[in-house]
Amino acid sequence: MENDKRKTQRREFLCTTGKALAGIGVITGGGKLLADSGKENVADMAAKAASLPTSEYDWTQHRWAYGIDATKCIGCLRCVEACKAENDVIGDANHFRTWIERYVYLEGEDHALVDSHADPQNIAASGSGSEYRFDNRYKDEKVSKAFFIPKMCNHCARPACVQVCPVGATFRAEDGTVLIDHDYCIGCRYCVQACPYGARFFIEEEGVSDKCTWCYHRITKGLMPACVDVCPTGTRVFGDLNDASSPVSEFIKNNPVQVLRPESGNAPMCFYVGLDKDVS
Amino acid sequence: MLNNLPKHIVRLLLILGFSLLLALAAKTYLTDPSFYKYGHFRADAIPELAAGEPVYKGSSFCLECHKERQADWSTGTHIAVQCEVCHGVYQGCPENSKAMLPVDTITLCSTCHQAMPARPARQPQVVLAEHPFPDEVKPPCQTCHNPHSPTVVELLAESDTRAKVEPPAYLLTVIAKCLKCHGDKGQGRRKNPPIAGFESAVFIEKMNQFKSGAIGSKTMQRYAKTLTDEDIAELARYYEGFPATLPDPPPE
Repeated sequence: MENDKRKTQRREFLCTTGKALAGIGVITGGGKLLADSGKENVADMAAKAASLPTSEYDWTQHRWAYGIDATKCIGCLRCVEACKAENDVIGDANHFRTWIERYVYLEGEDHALVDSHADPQNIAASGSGSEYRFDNRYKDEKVSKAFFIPKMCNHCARPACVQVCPVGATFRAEDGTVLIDHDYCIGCRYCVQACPYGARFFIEEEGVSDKCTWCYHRITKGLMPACVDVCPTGTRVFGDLNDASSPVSEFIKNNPVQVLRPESGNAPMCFYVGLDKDVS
Repeated sequence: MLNNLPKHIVRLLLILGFSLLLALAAKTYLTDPSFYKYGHFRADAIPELAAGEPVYKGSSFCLECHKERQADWSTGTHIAVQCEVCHGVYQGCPENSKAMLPVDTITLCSTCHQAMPARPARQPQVVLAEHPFPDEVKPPCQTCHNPHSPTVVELLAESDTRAKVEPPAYLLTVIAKCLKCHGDKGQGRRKNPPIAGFESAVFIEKMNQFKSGAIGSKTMQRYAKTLTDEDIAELARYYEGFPATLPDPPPE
């Protein structure tokens, strides 16, 4: 009697589970079909990419890269001010698309003292939140080694910020530039958190994230980014890796170059000469 | 089948199915039409980002009108410095040209040229407190330096505050001989050191050392022996009043 009852219970359980699984299978299969129909659009990409997004600029012909020779940087901060003027960045010290760090080794010290142009002491020395100068706080100290390191968005080939964006507001264009669509950004700041270089920042007034765009509006017209143009010492170089005679191709060919934080796996496209052990 | 399933399971499945439909509808109708064209982003953003008007005009734009600057700017070391770096972003010339003239040149020039430990040695730098002379009122930089070609140091005699001493007439031929080797402004030439601005006490001591042979220079000994103590004192007073200049660069 009990065996029969159990047999019935087992059969009913198996039937119910089987039907439930079949139901889930139908729903999943249907969902996949619909998703696949979306995939067909992406498969059309080849045909659609033949139509370029910009009429006078062909993004498939360029592979942009940036070079920085930190041994030449004099820390004049013209690049920081030029970027702000060119890209209409908010004029206070904590919003910047590019910045300069100063590393100072005092005699007998193993580790560098680091400050940047946004350091409050430097802002106090310059007298204004929108005009930038490094102060001369080490002029009476015994300094054994000191140098400047310019930094900015590295426009990585495998960007972490693009991977984490939940809405697709930041993306890598086919010419290698990593750009931000301010209309689509929801202001979650996940990208600001994800960037290993601290290159991204948040604009509170607009509720969107922002960063260096390599002056996309200039490079698509054959100009250089503003920071490259104004640098008086030739620290910054920019160009097309597809063109062997471009400044950046020559820079990479003629110098042993490094990148910041290669272990992050982001494959940055800003190449440095003159990185010190304490620079990260 | 549905009547075999418990009601709460049925309801859960219905909610699941409905949410799925809602999500699919939102994805189809609420996404921008240009999304997915080139990837997981809105394709129309690219022309928007590329469309901005450049703000910095570049030096070639300025030189279209300001041809008078071409000669000295393009041959000096400041060829590396674009016009807008010192003059500010183009704001419309000639309407806003006054705004583009630097006013406080000491602050402007020291932005790049103030001596700082982190600056590479190849960058020309001065310690502001000691340039051009220690403990003196600082004239604006363009008093001595042509900002468009700053390697040429031109001291305007009028702006120099040191008193000019008139040399005694009988020493003029001697002075001409000194300046022949030490530069027409006493600035020094080739291996001959500058004599302009020398403290008179030091000058007198040096000349006496040449005279006695304590410093072994046959040429200077010859000249010094022709001078009396009074001559040397007069010359010392005269050369002390010379404005100090940079020595001539060594021959190529």
